[in-house]
Parts: sequence; C-alpha cells; structure tokens
Amino acid sequence: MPVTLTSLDDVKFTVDKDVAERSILIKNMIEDVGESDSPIPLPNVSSAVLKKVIEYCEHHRNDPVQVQDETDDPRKRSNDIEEWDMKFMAVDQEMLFEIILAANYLDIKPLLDVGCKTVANIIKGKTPEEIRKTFNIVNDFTPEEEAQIKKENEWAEDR
Amino acid sequence: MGTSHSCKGSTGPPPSSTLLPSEILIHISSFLDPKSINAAGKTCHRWYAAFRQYRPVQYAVCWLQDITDSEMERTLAFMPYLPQRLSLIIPHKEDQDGRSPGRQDGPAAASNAHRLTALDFSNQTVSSSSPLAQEQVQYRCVTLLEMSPLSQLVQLSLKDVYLAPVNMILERCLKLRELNIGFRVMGAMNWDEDQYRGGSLPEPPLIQWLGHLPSLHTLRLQSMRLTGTDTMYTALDTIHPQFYAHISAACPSLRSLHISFDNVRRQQPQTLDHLQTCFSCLQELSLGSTDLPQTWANMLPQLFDRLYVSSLLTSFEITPSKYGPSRGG
Repeated sequence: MPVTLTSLDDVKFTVDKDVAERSILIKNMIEDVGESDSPIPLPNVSSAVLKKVIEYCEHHRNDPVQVQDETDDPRKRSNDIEEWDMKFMAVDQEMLFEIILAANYLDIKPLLDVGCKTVANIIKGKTPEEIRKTFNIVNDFTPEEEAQIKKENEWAEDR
Repeated sequence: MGTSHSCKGSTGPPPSSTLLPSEILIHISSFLDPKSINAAGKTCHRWYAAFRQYRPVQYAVCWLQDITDSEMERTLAFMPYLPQRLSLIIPHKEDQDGRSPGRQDGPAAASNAHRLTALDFSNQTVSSSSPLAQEQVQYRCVTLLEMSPLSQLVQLSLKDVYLAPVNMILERCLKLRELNIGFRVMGAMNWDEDQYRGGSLPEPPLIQWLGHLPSLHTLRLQSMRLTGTDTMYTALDTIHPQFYAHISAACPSLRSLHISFDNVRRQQPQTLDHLQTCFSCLQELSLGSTDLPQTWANMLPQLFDRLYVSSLLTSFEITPSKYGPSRGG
C-alpha cells in the first residue's frame, strides 16, 4: 500500500508503506491513524531533505529493523560505514546536518547513526581551530582565555 | 572504509548555518574513536574545546577506556569543556603498567567541575570483570565522585557499578532530583538478619541513602534480581511489599518511579496494592519487564488511572487516548 508524505514546502511524495515505515515516527502514525489515504504531514522536513531520506529508506527497505537496546555495545565505531551510505552522505554540510535532524525527527536510527558517524569522522584529527572552521563555529575566547586553555592543555597539542 | 573516506564531500563550503541540538552532539561524540580519545585525550580535548561555543552543548560522553590513572587525571581536566552533563563510561581494565590503584590529588580538576549537574556512571562489563578490574572500577568511580563537587548535581546514575561509599556521596547531593541506581551497586540491599523480628523488615542501606535526598523526584531502580544476602527483600525474585513503603517514606517528593523487574510474574499478588498505597502521589510509574502477567496488565490501569503508566512490556499496552492526557498529572 502506498503512503503519501507531505513535506514542509507542501511537496507530496508517494512511497511504499514498508519504505515509509523505516521511520518509526511514520510507522507509529500509520498505526495510530489506521488505513487512510490522507497524506502524512512532515512539517519539519523540507522536500529536498525528504527526497534524500526516502532515497535512503528505499535502499535500506529490506534491512532488519534496528532495535535500540540498553545492552547495545557502547563502544561505537565510526569507521564501519557501508560504501553506499558513504556515497549517500557525500553531501554539503548543510544537507548533512539537515539529514541528521530529519533522521532524528523521523526516528530513523540507522540514518541518524550514519549521519553522526560522518560528522564524527569529520572531527577526527582536527585541531579546535580546524573544527571551528569546518562547523562555522565562532571562536568567542578572548586571547587571554585561549592562551590559558592552550597552556592547560599543552599535553594534548602534540600530534 | 576508513575515517578519511567519509570526510569527502562533507567539508566543502559554505559551512552549515544549521545548529545541531545537544542530543545529536551526544550521539556524535559517542562515535568518536575511544582509542584516539583515550590514548592521549587529544580528540576529546579538541572536540570539546571547539564545541564549547557550539550551543547548546549540555552533555558530553567521555570514555575512560584503556587509560592509566594519570590519563584519568587528564580526562578530568576536560571538565571545563563539559558545561553541565558528563557521562563516564568505564569499561574494566587493569593498569597496563601494573601500578596499583592509588588516589590522585585533583583539586584543580575538581574545581573545574563546579558546573556539573549530571553524572552518569555505567559499566557494561563489570559483571564479567576480574576482581582486580572491579576494584579498579570502583576506585575510579569513587575517586571521580570524591573529586567532583556534587552540590549542584541534579542527575546521578550509578548503574551497574560496584561502589562502596554511596552513602557519603549521596550525602553531598542535596539538590539531586533524579537517581538511577542499579541494585548491583554494592551493599544497596544488604540487611542484618539479627534486626529482623518478623513484623517488619529493617531498612536496607538503599533506603538510608535515599533519605539523604529530600528533593528526589525521579527514581530508577534497575536489575531487581538479587542473590545471597539480599534474599529477604527479594526471595524468589519477589520484592517484599515493605520495600515500597520504605521508599515512599524516604522520598516524599517522589513523583516518578521506574522499576525494572527481572521476573515480574513472581511478584507477590499484593505488590500491586502496596504500589498503589505507597505511591498515591506518583505521576509516572514505569515497570520494565518482559514477563508481565495479564492480571497485572488488567489491574494497573484501574489502580493508577491518574498516572501515566509507561512500560517496556510485551503483553501490556496503555491506550493512548485513554491514558495519554493524564501524563504528568
């Protein structure tokens, strides 16, 4: 059964139910509402981002459902991204963040994970200055504060 | 598929104007390679140094894996970059250099933690740890807690950690509103057989600890399966009803109670009555179990119709339309 999703900018996407239900949010909405032809509004997701999310869900439509469990091994690794996912995430930073936010909103844990792993990989090995530059973070340290922090953390500065 | 590959395509200009919320940042930080964080703490330092400006960062995950005592000391020095919340994940490990645990002086690190409002200790592997490793975990937890000013702490999680001086630690948590504690925390349910006179059970240490927390609003009790000396309260995996009365008396401000039963089917039938009697002011009750008998499932909504009853249960569901509006009140 197809499901129609409506994006923030009122663009409609019709997808198979099993694809839509990769999103736990949508799955729950479908279960709550029951069989219905009414479009499901997703007011927090733009059409550009929703299109990407659907692309991801279609590719992973047959994956086993990931169950969040307290017993999950917390020793997570960021270097186990599948090749397809890596290419999928090769987008500009704005889109990357938007995909992460959408995955969080739509409750698509595998997509959230791969997005966060991608960001974690961007961070690795970078200096604070490089991270700031990458993520457009304004350095609001005063020169004195920065000198103090550098002194306190001198041990961590050698590569 | 190394780390370098996935950076491609994600670093191009312009930088994002989108800010990620704190829960996402937590999630991202959990994927930072523990080895690189802990080997020298470099990544950890750089991450937090840079993200200090990345509002709102209210939470951070800090790994204490494969580190020596001196590295732990350094890790504590990160606290200036952990604005409010700190989660410490401490897998067991024996010191590689063979040093025996010795207390570190850390006044500088401790003074940096004045903003800490949440502390989370978890140890996924403590149950399989060697005695030495367990001792080290305990030592590290105690050291960290003793070095940290806890007066501003509102959330504390001591799940699955063997931790002896809990009493002394909780004494300092005057503002604590949320406690997540595992029953495997050492001594939590110890009791003195000589004190038992048939009529009522003596208060176990856990109850005395709770007595230090007048503002406690949320209590999460986990891993109810107990052994050995704990059996008075938990014979055959049941919880003695008086236990709930003790909790209720110790925590008059309690509004949210989460109990994880390992085997709820063996709970005494009158347990439900005691829950209702003891916790008439509760706003939220969560019973975690995979084995809830249908009788409980039928009775809970009747007994707690003013509550939001959440559940991890497989055989029990609350109809949202019926019980949803009562959430929180």
